[in-house]
Amino acid sequence: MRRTAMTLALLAVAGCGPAERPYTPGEAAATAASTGAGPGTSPGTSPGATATASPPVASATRATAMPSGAQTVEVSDDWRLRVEWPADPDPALKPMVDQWVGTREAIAAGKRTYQAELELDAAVKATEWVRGFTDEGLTMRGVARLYNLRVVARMGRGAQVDACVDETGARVVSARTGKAADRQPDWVRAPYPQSVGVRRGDDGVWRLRFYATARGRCPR
Amino acid sequence: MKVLMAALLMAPLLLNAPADPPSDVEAEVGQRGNTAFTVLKGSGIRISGDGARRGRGDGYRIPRPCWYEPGPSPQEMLDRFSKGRDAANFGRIALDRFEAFIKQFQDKIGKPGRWWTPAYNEADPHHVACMADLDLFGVFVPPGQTPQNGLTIEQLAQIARAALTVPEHTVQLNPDAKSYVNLPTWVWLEGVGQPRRTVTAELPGVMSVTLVANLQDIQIDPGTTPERAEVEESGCGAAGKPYTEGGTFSCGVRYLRSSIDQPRERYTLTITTVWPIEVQDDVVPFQFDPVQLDVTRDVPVGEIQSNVRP
Repeated sequence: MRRTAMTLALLAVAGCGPAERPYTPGEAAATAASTGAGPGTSPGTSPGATATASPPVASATRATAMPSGAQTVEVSDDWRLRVEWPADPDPALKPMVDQWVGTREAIAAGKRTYQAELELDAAVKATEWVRGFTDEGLTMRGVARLYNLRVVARMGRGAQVDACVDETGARVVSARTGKAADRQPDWVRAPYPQSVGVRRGDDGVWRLRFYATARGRCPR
Repeated sequence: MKVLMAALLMAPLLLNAPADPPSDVEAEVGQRGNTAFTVLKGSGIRISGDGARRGRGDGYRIPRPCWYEPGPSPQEMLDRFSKGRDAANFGRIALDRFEAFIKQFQDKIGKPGRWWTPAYNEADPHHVACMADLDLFGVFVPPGQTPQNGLTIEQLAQIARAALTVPEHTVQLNPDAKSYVNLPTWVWLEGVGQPRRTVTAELPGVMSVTLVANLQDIQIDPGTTPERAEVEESGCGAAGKPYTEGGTFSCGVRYLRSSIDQPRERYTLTITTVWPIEVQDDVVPFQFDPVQLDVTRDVPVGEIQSNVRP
């Protein structure tokens, strides 16, 4: 019923855009590591110990190319995510996409946690959100879109990544019956912005550190 | 740090929703109304002085809008993260990682030094990127040392500079509503009040910096080329020269051409107040650029019509 692997949707973008290809969370990290976008100043960690949460594991098995163009992720038979990567995407964008896809995959799979590649504070926030669904027996169906991905600021090894999320084509439903929840959240009524702080680690991999207060508008 | 998952937060019944986006994105960048530019979060720094209230800033940006401040002792830090609701939440959600997380605080018990924790200026548009570069829970620092990106007296002066505002003046003209070709247009300011402003940034018990801004002079931009306007600033002083009947014109503009061919048939006159800044007692060997505040006025300039009869 649920497809954990991304399937090749091969949906042509409306008009004459490029064909979409499946997105695999974690792909392109090697590229991110090798290109290491952003100024390379060191963070202030000395003297003394750093107090970061235990770092997530960086996979060494990832593909080497950053995605670009539109991609479709089928997180379940009736829940599809569309990621609109910019042309020549910055590796710093990847943690934003990973958490967006990953949290929804976790919900579709009925999991109670989502921590992959997130530092502790962000992992707690993401897990709380996922549990808001799974503990209530809820999931989603329909089509959602992540677009206008951009790095809005950089400082040292840190960066702010913003994006827009359009989940107006999706609905919260009962995971058991598929029936739409009586009360739908406001965020399925209009596109909304999301903002995260990301940092490039010593291994060159960008990771999500925290969710930031999102500002601005998201035209469709 | 506001690490709100603002767009995603929701209660189990999905009743909560992301906050409405603000109506004006640009308002978040730099000055907003008459409030100061600094909105310090996670910080023990106090900002005071008449220069921090009721004025307008010039959008000065701290080069690095986040930093570490000296903070809790090892025991206080351990208590902060091992007790209470947040700790319980962390442990409930990610027990394996939480134990490793807490261990770093346990390891510092009994060691000399203290934790330095991050703080930032939320009003700065780069604060998220800046904070992403810091260790969110701080760094442990031996006595007498300052960590990289730790608060210094210079950084404190930068914070004071970002908080500094000056009075928002109004520009008075004579003639006021409309001027005429070759007629001197007197310029002076109102609403400046005291021409001296101070702002102090202090980390109590650790360090303090006071900046003093003195209104030095004004600059006049007639909004057109020298062929069309002559600027007279010799008698402007710090706040212009109010018009007096029969007085000598020494601060203002003499327009030489009508504004009939200008956009909206008027010139845009800009008056800039210039406030050089000094660091009180020279506690920081640092020179800041003056605060400069612009105010504009529209000046329609007409020809004086005369009828000559033979």
